[in-house]
Amino acid sequence: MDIKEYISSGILELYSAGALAEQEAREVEAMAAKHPEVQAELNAIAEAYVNYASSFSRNPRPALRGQILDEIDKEEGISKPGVDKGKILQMPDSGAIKQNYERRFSRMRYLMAAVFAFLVLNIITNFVLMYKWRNTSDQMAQLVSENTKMKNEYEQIKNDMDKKTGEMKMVMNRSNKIVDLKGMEISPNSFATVYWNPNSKQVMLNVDNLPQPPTDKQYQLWALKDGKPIDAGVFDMDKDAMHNMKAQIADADAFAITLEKKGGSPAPTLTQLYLMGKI
Amino acid sequence: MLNKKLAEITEEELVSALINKDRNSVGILYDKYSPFLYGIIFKIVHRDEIAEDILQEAFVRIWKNISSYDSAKAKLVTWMANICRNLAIDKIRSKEYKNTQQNQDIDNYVNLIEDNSAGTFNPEHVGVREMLYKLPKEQLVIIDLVYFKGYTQSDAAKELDIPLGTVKTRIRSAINYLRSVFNPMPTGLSGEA
Repeated sequence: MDIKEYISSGILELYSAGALAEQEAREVEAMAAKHPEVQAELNAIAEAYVNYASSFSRNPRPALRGQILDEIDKEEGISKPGVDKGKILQMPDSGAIKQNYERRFSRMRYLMAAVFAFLVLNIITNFVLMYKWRNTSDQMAQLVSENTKMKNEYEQIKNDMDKKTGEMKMVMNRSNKIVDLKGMEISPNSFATVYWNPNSKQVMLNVDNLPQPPTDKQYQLWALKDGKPIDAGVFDMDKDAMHNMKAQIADADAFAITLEKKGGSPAPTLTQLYLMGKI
Repeated sequence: MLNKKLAEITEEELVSALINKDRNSVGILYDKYSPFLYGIIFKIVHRDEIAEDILQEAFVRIWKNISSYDSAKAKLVTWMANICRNLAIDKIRSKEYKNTQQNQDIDNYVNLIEDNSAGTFNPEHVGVREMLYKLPKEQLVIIDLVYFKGYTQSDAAKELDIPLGTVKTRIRSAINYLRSVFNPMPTGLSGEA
């Protein structure tokens, strides 16, 4: 091929801009190696591109210089820490050493700042965790107290239940005598039932209907044997209608209830006879 | 050896200092060439924040790969300009860039010469710029496509809807024109070394 024709074809300009396909580019390189005038032309073309490109010169932000130099230092520090020192020793330029130390110092400062930031973050995290832990702790205490309350309530209910079960057993005893006490003239609508076990001598009283007594008075139960009254104890008109009387009654043919002064009387006040029933 | 004034340092001195991993040489390299390289990158990516990242990447690459630079094949500026061009062109071809940048139409691409002139243009090239305007647009477009946009010969032919041969003749005329414009007034970058 005619070299002059080759040179003026435009292929070298395309090669120089990197616009040729791989194979064509290799051909240009081979030609350049073989013919110095091709290489010379390539150099001139490259210069034209560079001159053209330099007409677009633009100053970067001044801070970019330091940033890029730092980046290169970083590259060096990471990839060749050993070479680093050697190079500084080979170059007795105090300015460069100083600059290098300054860069290292500034890197140290970054490191310190990072450590400090980490510590601050750590402290904040600890405070947050402590706050959460306290909350949890409070909730825990509340749960414990609620648990205790429930336990107490449960025990109360169990006690009540035990008491009721005991009363039920007594009431259901086959050897019980069941005596209905009926309202007398003073309170015709009143009603009560006595469960008396002659064997155990226990007396239970279930009040169905009795007026509330004045605060200074109490109802008193009497067992009657051959017309003679025996004190069977006083009782209060509380929520529980069933009363387990403390007195032990060995023998009786009737029961009665009178209203007496608080604490009871040795003998019944017959004008205040509310209820009575015979066995 | 690098204590000379910036303008007096030759390419050879700078290259051997770089190969010796002389730290000062990076600063000198930066001071001497960053506006040139940054201008190329900016011409391609059009955005300073992206151009800054690429310039940094380019300097790291230059620093790392300087030992593979062959002064017999190309001058240092050409080699560095190619590194910057390749990085910037890779960038504009990346999905990430395309998502943030509206594709620029071939017609207003030519106008980027004017866009760029606002305040950033190197005053020593003002005369050159005026002469560049004399270059027929269809020739300027070809240079910008292949040099700044990384088009291959056949991509450019397709884009402009002209035969491959026409791409060759147009780019030859354009470069010849540029050579005639720059030769009588060599810049600091063309150098005599």
